[in-house]
Formats: sequence, C-alpha cells, structure tokens
Amino acid sequence: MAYVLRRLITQLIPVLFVASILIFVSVRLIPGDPVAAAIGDAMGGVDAETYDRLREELGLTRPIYEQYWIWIGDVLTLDFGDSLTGLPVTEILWNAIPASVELAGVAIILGFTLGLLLGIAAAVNRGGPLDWFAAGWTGWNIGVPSFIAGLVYLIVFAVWFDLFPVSGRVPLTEDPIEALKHLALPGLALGGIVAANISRFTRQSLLDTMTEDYIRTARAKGLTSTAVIARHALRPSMIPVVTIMGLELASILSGTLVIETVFTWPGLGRALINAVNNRDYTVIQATTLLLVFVFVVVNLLVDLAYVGLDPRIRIGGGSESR
Amino acid sequence: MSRATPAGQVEAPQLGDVERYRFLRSAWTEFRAIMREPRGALAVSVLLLLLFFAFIFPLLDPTDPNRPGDGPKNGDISWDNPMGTDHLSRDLLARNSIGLGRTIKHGFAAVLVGWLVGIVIGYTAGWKGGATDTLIMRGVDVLLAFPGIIFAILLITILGSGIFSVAVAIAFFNIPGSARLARAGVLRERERDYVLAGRCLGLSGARILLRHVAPNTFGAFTVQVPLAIVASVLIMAALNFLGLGAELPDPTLGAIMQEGRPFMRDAPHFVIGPVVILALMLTSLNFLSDVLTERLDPVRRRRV
Repeated sequence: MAYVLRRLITQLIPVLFVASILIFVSVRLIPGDPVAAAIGDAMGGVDAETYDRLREELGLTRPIYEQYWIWIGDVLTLDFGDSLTGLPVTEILWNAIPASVELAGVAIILGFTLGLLLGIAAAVNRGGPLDWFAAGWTGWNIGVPSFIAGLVYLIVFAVWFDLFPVSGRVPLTEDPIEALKHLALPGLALGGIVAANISRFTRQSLLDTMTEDYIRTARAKGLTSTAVIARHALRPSMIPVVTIMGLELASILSGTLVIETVFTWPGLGRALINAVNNRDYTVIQATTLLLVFVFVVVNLLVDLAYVGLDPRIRIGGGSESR
Repeated sequence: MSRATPAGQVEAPQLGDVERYRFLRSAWTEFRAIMREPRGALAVSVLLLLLFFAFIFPLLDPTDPNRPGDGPKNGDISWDNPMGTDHLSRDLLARNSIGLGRTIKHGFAAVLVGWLVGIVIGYTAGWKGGATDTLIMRGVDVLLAFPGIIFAILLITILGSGIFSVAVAIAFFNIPGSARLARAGVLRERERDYVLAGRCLGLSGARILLRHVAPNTFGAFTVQVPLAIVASVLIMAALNFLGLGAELPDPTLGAIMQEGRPFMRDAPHFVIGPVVILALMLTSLNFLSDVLTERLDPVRRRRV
C-alpha cells in the first residue's frame, strides 16, 4: 500500500501534472489567437469592441496561471468545452471510446492467446515446422510496423481475396458477426506484433525452464511430456511473459492511434487526427490528456502487477539507478 | 570497451589518440565481419540499393515527380510507369524515389540531432551527478512516460504540420533513450583508474570526459543506433501517413500511402509500392542491428 502511494506521488501525479501543463501551453503557443480561430473568416467583420468582449468571455484577459487553473478545474469535472463542430467535446469522446476499447480489447485477446499458444507450440516443437512458423511470424511482425502490416492485410485479405470489409465499424451490440468481420483485420494488425513478442518470450522462457533440475526429476518419475509441461514447466515460465504483456499493453495503446486511421476506425485516434487536421484545439486537448492518463495509469498498474509477482522490487525501489 | 589492465598499472593518458585510430580500424573489421554473415550482407546490399534508388536514381530519371503526366489516373504498372501512376496521374516510380529520399534525409537528420542532444544531456547528468543528475533524469522520465506518438502529435500541433515539425518530433523522441544510454556509460567509466590518472595529471574535467571517457561509451551506441533509426523511420512514416508532415505536392513514403489509401480497391499498386520499400528498409535495418548485437554479445551468439 505504501508502495502504491509512493508511486502515485512520485510518478503518476507529476507526469499527469507536467502533461496537463504541456497540453495546455501547447495550445496557447499555436500562432494566431483562439478568438480569431473561433470566428474564423468572419474576423474582418468584428469590431474591436466585440473582439475585446469575446476575449473577456473566453477568459483570455486573465493571467496564464489563472487560465490554467480554470481549465484544469473544468477538466477535473469532465467539462472539456465545445469542439469547433459545436458538439461538446465530452460527447465526441463518449462516441469514440467504445470503438477504441473494442479494438484494443480484440487486439489484446488475440495477441495474448495467439502469442502464448504459438510460443508454447514453438518451444515444444523446437526445430519443427511450428517453431519455424512462429519464427517467421515473429520476424514479419517485428520487421514490419503494425500500420504497414495493416495495409498489407487490407490488400491481401480485403482487396485480393475479398474476405473482409476495407474499412469502418459495426458496433458489437448491433450485429456481432459483421462487427467481428470489421474487427478482424485491425485486430490482427495490432494483435499480431503483440503475439510475436509474447510468443518469442514464452518460447525462450519455457526452453530455459526445461533445463531446470526439477523438470528432469519430473521426467525421471515417469510423467508424460505433456504433464511435465502443463503441470511443472508452464507456471514458472510465465513470470517474464507477464512482464512483456504489461509492456505490450502500452504499445497497443499507441498502436491504435495509427491503426484506426488505416482502417478508418471511428475511435479516439481517429478523433485526435481529425482534430489536428481541423485545428480543433479543445478536442486535441481532451483526447491527448485522456490518452496520456490511460497510458500512465496502465503503466502504473503493470508496475503494481510486478510487485505482486516479485516482492524484491518493493524493497529495492529507492536506490535503484535509473 | 577498454582492455583490462594489470592491477596497479595506470593506463597512459594519451590513450585517446590510439583508441580513435583503433576505432576506425575496428569499424572496418566490423564491416567485413558483417558482410561475411548472410543476413548482414543481405541487409547491407538492400540498404545500398535503396540509397541508390533514393539519391542516384532521381539524377538519371528526368520524370518530374510532382507534374501530372499524360497517362491514366491510378494507372496500372506499365513500361512508361513501372510502379504505375497515382490519382493525379503522376509517375509513382519518381514519387517513391523522391519520397524515400526525403524520408531518409529527414529521418537520419532527426535521429542525429536527437542523439547528439541526448548524449550531451546524458553526459552532463552522469558526469555532474548529484542534483543536476536527479533533475535531468526526472525530466527524461517524464518524457519517457509519455506515449511517443502523442508527444509528437502535440509538438506538431504547436509547430504546425510539415516535414520539419515531424523531424523535430522525431528528434525529441530520440532524446530519452540516448540520454539514458550515455549517462549509463559515463557512470560506468567515471570511477575507473584512468579518470583518476587524468585528474592527477591536472586535466580539466571536460577534457577527460570528451577525450577519454566518451570514446569508451560509444560501443553501446552501435547496437542502439540502428534500432533508433528503425523506430524513428517508423514513427516518421506513421506521422506522414496521418497527414501531419504534409507539404504538398512533395512526397514522403508515408504521404504516398495516405494518398493511396482511398484507392486501395481499384489501385492497390498505389499503396503497395511505398509499403514494400518501407518494409525492405526496416527489415534490413533490423537485420543489421541483429547481426551487430550478436557480434557484440557472444552469449546470445551461442544460444540462438
């Protein structure tokens, strides 16, 4: 518990604080002022008095730290203001979050199960065809970034073989089959690299465990190799794999940003990129802040999971050289 | 890495000069060793071909990559347009060539700048120690806690989209890793006898750091730099694909992919070209760094 508190105070809060300042300031640093941006081309028709009144209304006449204080207060009450399209930013976020969560969820499930199965199969079948297949899969996914892999899957499975739709999303609640069809390719693109990394570590870790003395003992007392692997080797091999799984969570989060554009998936990444292209600053602020928040929290949870697995980390924390 | 010295014997302070020539000579030996490995030779050949395609080929081919041609729009592969044409019937071969060149130029410049800044930061932190170190490394930690691509998007929002902003973002992206690596190197070397010897000779701290300590930290960089280039080219392509580095009509590989994405069904060659080029480049760089890692790490060489 003390460890959780310390992590909260020394890492989570400073990072979020710096992030919020950075995000707030970055939008102020953009050339041109928000009033001009908000009125757009009508600027010529606005007299100095209206202009000043608008600045006053938007709170731009106050000192910058006061503006930040007001903004952060709004953010904490989940009021992100209105987007240029007139919609409240919260609404845009609420529409985008389910799509992103769905995609990330599929990628995690696909990546973790495929990675574990492939890794175990490769280790058991060392040097055999499955091992070669796993090595090929790993090489492909590590050599080629997820968004390129996504484009390749699109060309092969959606254009040439016409098995899957090229873009878009159908909510899972409306038509599960169609939804899964739309999810398959982006899920594979995102989950593929996760599976590759996890299978590599699973294989190595399992092979390392297999050289332990207690495995020889288990074999010596006459257990079948399936029983040796399932009952004795698998569990201790999982500790490094869980570490990798945690790291992969973060990579899925940043991966969705680009993959969503490849598959025109209406999630947070798409919302962010659209906002950047339309210079819709309130949306940029809200989405980046949300993404950083999720990223940092996920990292914290992963670190906490290590502590559960390996109590040594808890003690060593203070003096580690970073 | 410097050699182990017999106990009590102080390494000569002019070692820096010898080390430098040795560095050049060992670089050549290293290169020949890489070429002897099939994967290394393949990677180097592909990279040379790509460099030729990006920088020599445009000199030989007079086609203007930005001028719409007379051919069809989204035209298929043909004798006149070996990679087809795009939606404005521009020649994709010329566009991919220029696009690759721009990707390489800006990507490498960004990695270089990022690493130089990172190394200076890391050396300062490691050499000064104490409060300076803590302060700098806290900053680096915060930078690392950010998802790289979000930080890049924020930077580009501030600077306005364009290839320069993308390069700046990539440079920033490279700072935390290189700073940590440089700091770790300095921390490892700082306590060694030859540093003490330098101090006894009355050399200034900066001189010891730059002429004697720094060369001993370079070894770790050789493995990490190819990986950093891979990651940077990848992020760069991604940012360009998202349309954040757009400076129309000049192409980059990512921008060609973005332009081709809507025509995927009717003109897959549009996207396939840059995808293949980028995949070749990244895979070769990965191979290269694998070969380097295995050469520097005999344990791994034996195991796999």
